[in-house]
Amino acid sequence: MQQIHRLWDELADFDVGQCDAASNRLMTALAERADMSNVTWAGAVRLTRGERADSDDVMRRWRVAAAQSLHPYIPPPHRIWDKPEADPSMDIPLRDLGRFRNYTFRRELPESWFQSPFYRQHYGDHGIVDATFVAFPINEDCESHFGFWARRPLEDETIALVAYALRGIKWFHRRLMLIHGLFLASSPLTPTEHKVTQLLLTDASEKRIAHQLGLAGSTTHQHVVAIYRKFGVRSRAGLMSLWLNRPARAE
Amino acid sequence: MLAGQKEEIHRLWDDLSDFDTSQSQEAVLSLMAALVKLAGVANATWAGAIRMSGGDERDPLQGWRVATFMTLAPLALQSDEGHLGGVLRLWDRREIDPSFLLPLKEVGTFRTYSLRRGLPAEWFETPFYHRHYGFCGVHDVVFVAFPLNEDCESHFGFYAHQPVSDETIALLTYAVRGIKWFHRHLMLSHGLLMASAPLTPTEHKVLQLLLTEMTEKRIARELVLGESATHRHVVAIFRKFGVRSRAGLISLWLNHPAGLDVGIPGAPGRPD
Repeated sequence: MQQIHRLWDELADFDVGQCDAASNRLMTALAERADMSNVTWAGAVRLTRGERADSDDVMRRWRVAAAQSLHPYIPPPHRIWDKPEADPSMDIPLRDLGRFRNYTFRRELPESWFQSPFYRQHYGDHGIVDATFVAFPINEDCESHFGFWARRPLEDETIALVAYALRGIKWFHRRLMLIHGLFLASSPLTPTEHKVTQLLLTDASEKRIAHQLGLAGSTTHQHVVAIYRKFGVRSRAGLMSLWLNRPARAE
Repeated sequence: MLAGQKEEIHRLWDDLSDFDTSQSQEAVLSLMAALVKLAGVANATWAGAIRMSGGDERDPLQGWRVATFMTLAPLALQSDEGHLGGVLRLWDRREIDPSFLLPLKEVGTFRTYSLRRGLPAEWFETPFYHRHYGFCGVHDVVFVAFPLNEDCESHFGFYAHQPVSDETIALLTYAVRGIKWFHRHLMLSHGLLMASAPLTPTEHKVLQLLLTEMTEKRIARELVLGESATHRHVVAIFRKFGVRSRAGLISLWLNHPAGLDVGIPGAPGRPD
């Protein structure tokens, strides 16, 4: 528990503009501590009415709008979520929506599922024997999901450890969702907008930001304008103030 | 600690992170109220402690002083001389009581200490105990200290009318341990971190509103201050934090300049 508390302290020491570095630190520490072959993060949002949503949508309007992965070699779940297929494993994240929860393949799915082509294609062939997920709801339309992938059936203690590590840091889940435009924004940020946003939260000038990301000044400015529009703010101070919890629109 | 109690504390942490940063006062009071209830104690206090540099090397309190202090229920403060106000005054005058040395043990590390566990039984017979604690029925006080850096610490105190069990101490310790981000916000909002001097109570109120989108005019109206007086407070706040604009001020809540929570040059406690 002390190690986890020190990890939380470390997260609090990161600047908000270093959100990628902070989540990387969190994932690395937990992968090591819990002996996981990979750790992934997915920002899940529910499509609003009017957006494309078929009546037979197996994901009930939920989509992975942003994702990160500690190691790239294992297909992260959002690839599967892009074209959701009906499969028993796709129902699990949708149980108890809106509540902090933890679910694990080997606990939730029958032995027969691990013989299925779906399992083999998406997980088994990549050496994944089990996976556990921790879901933290920010509000009823957005949730932060961490996935932990293992080459062995997961022990109770390991599952409890990662669930605990992610339970006490709502403030951090909120930041993760914000920095990807999944919370308080009208639509998710593109990967480049995400990078620009991180730098807009520092004291770097637009010129510096352009230089740092290897972008033209005018391109960078277009990104900045797009970011402000998505967050509904008029200035950098307005953007920064969203990180002080002031909602631009109702949460 | 029971799993149910832990989850109750996690929910308290969730609630804290839902507060607007400009509401740090409301947030800390709600945390203290919830913990008082959960732990079955009588009252709670919060103190922002800083170490002043350039002091006397022989100072037994090593330059530490309480720069900001607040209490949940004012009842124990009926007599200013009698209770906490009196203790803080004696502390500032360096009229040392053995209880003053408790917070200095292992200063700079996260720790929990209490009067009953840290002081001998005789101490509870002294006039000092009776004048400052016993007179209003305080049997024990448990403190949980969270250091932000070597010159600045956030201390929560829990005042009990009865002996405090090990389980209760563990509960309070746990509740204060997991929220470094919140201790940091608290210290910042009082000018105890990254500022050259602590904020006055009015500056603290103005600062809270500067973190919203309120105009200076609105802030003046809200706090029933003159506009020019409000502006002077804003200027003083910017000067103390070494920033030139509201955006610069807000960025202190988002970033850790130089990667460390040390004050700006000349700040209290910063070694020159």
